[in-house]
Amino acid sequence: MTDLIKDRITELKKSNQLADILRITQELEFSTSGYDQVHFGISANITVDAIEATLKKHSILNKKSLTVTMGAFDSHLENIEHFKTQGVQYPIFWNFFDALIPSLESRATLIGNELIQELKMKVLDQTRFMIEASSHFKMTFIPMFHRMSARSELNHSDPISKLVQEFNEVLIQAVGNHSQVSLINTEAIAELIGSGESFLPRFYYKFRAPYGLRFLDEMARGIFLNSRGMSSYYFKVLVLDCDNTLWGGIIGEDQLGGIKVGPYDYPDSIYWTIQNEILSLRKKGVILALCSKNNSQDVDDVLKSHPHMSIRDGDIVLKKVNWNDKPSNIREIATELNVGLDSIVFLDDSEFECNAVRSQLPEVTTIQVPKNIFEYPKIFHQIKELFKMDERGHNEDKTEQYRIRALALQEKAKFSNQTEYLASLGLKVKIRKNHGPSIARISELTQKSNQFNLTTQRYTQQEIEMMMNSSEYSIFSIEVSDKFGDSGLTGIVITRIRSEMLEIENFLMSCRVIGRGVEFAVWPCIFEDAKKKKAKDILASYIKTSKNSLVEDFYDRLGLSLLDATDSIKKYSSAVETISIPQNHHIEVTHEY
Amino acid sequence: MSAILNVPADSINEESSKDSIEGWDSLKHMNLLLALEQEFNVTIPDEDAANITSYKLIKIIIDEINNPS
Repeated sequence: MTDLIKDRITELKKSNQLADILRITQELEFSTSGYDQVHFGISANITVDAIEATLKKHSILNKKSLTVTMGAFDSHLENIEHFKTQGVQYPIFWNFFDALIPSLESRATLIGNELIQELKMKVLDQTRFMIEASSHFKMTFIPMFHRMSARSELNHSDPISKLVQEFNEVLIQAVGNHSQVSLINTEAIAELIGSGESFLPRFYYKFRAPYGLRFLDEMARGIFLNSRGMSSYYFKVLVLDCDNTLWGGIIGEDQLGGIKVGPYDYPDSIYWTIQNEILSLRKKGVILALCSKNNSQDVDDVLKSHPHMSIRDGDIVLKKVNWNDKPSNIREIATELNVGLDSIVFLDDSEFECNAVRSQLPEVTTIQVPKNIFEYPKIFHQIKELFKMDERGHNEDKTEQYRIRALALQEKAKFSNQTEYLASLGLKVKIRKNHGPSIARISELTQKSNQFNLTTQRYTQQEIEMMMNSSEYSIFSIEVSDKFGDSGLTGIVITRIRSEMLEIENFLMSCRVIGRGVEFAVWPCIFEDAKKKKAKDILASYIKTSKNSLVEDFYDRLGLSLLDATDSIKKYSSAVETISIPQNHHIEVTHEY
Repeated sequence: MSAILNVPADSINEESSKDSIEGWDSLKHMNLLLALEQEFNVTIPDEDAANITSYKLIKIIIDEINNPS
């Protein structure tokens, strides 16, 4: 990236006026040619065309190239159809509360309950259509309702706020835990910016355009945050330094009684607050690891005995407390937890360490504790935004699962070879076919797995459900457990049978369980099933992405014969009878179908 | 003006107006109004807002607001 472009991007980050954003995004247009396309569709009951400019800004900041299709005014249902034909990936369905019927806020206490119920039904119906259509799109965004007028009374029984809240309840209930629909909390945006800059009553009454640019800017930012940059990043691990990061002072010098962390004094209370914030992240499923230049005994003592530590030993999955350089330690953390470097956030107070990691491991997101310690909570807010997760998903018990893995790795050293070790694990694999209750998890896994994913086909819940109900497809879900614990549903095979040919449409596994032979052990069951379906030949392919080189030669290792290979795709074919799968003796495979 | 109306800056001159610039629609008009108010830190009253239809008129209106006679 040239300095000129870097400067422009820095300028773009700060810009919050329409003319500036338009000018800079136009200037940067040429440099976005290699970016992935994102195609938004805007459907609203108000004029929000200026969001195209702010979406463009945040597309460029997230290395995406933007296309926008503007839907017809106040016609969500027609727009759904229109968006489908236009190839929209990310529709935004936007209802402005005050415009649901003309000047709804001023009439909140005037119109009868009957009309309000009718309006709610309308919103509910519309939302149901949006949700039903959401399988055609990658992600559907629905901004929630908010009031525009300022509150005239500072008490809790304000009728407009109450009504807005009721309508938001309708949205929340309709959307439920639908993973492909993202509700956006517009009240939070208005609160952040202040109603004076959020809303332009003059433009609302004159042009039906209620929003100030800063609101639309924050909305676009929120859309990219809620979808983790349109699924371009996914942080899993927070790697923490100790001295002057988890606590004030240096444990090696100040000793247990001298370091600063606790609920009352300053700056002790800042570190204590940060520790609580870190613990909340852990509760959400973020994996915590330590990377500190210290004597490990000293750090263990703090974790065990300091009266005011919120974080304790059990919260940390992996500790690299030694005198090695931090980039090497972080590399080891990535290997041992089996995560990509690009899913790691590293927090340290030392400029030297931060720069070392930035320069040697640019994939890692490095954040430095601010020099002015009172700004620490503000900086930590950025970290919280990075770890934005789908809290309705499967994430809560990840720490437990990664702990299990880390424990298993320590066990590893006791055996002289891998086979011996694997045999001692007591691995059990359970294969289910077309298992309805797992649809959500199956879809989630197809969306999230990158490294062990042969074709990187993503499927929505509806698609999985349709395939389960069709006679051509079989969806095998793989559940893995061992003596250390249950890893849950961590692998999927999707096959399709057509005229005696069984095609393996996809095979993917969570990185938590690979390297134990499970990836081979499941196949006898699947080929057995193929034979039952009278398949004579097996067809499989590997489609290359930037992340799945791990499985480049997987089908070779499985014993399929290569049919055809290009740079991006390898095709395999074998007669069912001739395939001989590498033997496994250490995994107990059962199937339920 | 150039950024809002999406035309090259050097194509805008004394003679530029709603008639000579393609795509100067009501939406761009609104954005232009907003941008001018931000840029020159003024409020353009409604009776003038409808008249910001050319480079010359914009200049006159903003001059008038800044130096009321």
